[in-house]
Amino acid sequence: MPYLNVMTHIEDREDDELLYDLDGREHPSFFFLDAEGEVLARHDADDVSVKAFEETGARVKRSLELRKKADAGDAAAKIDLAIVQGELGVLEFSDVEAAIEGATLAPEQEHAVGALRADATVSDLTLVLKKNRDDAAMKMVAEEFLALHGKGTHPARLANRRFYWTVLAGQSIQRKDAKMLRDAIEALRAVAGPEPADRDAQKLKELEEIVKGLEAPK
Amino acid sequence: MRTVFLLSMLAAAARADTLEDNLAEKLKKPFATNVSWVLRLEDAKKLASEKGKVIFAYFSRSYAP
Repeated sequence: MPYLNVMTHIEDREDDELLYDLDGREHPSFFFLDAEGEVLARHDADDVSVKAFEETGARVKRSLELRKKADAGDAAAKIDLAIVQGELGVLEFSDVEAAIEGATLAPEQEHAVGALRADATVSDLTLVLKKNRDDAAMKMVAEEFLALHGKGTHPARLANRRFYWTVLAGQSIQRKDAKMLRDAIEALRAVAGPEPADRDAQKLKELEEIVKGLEAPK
Repeated sequence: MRTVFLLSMLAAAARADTLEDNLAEKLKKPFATNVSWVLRLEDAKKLASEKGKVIFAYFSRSYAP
């Protein structure tokens, strides 16, 4: 069922910001939804090859199969479904945690849940900073992000990735940590996309200069 | 003051007209006309439910290129 949503910025227009509600940002963006409007899968709009759509189709099918099994009482499917729905933004992290409580997770499930936990942390800290951006708050946020980075768990959602890696880039420069700065640059380049806005391109260029300075032999 | 208010109202109305024009132009593009798109989410949900299908949602914009 092909549905076209055009964001217009016309005041009070129905579903004009639906993309943001689905945690999307870029134009164009492609989503597969069920008949309730719930996200089944996202498709990377940079790749419109048949193969890419077949892979997304497989993810849609998996979402639907997991739902069917979970509804039938399959405990393993319930965990996988909760993780997938957390990744798609259909479930809050607290609901994912409730769904997986007491279960033994496979390594890839642990990794996926780690990313979800990181997203929830970054989202919560973003809200904290909206109320108060004094030095103490910024320091606390930086420390939390460094702790996440130390565990190797990073947020997956686009909005969170930008903030998280921007803070870590700043920390890398302060600490003269070339490796972390390289990680941050790579991550921010991915966030900016294949055609970065001028502001993002300029920022990436500045960070590249800084990291070259840090990497230069002493 | 009243003049400033009236000018800002006119500017807002002009902008609203531009946004409507932008939408109309966008909907004339080949990607919009070559497919029988459903333009309201509620209609898409109803049809998807009736036909047992999933919804392919294409998000675009008209307020900027």
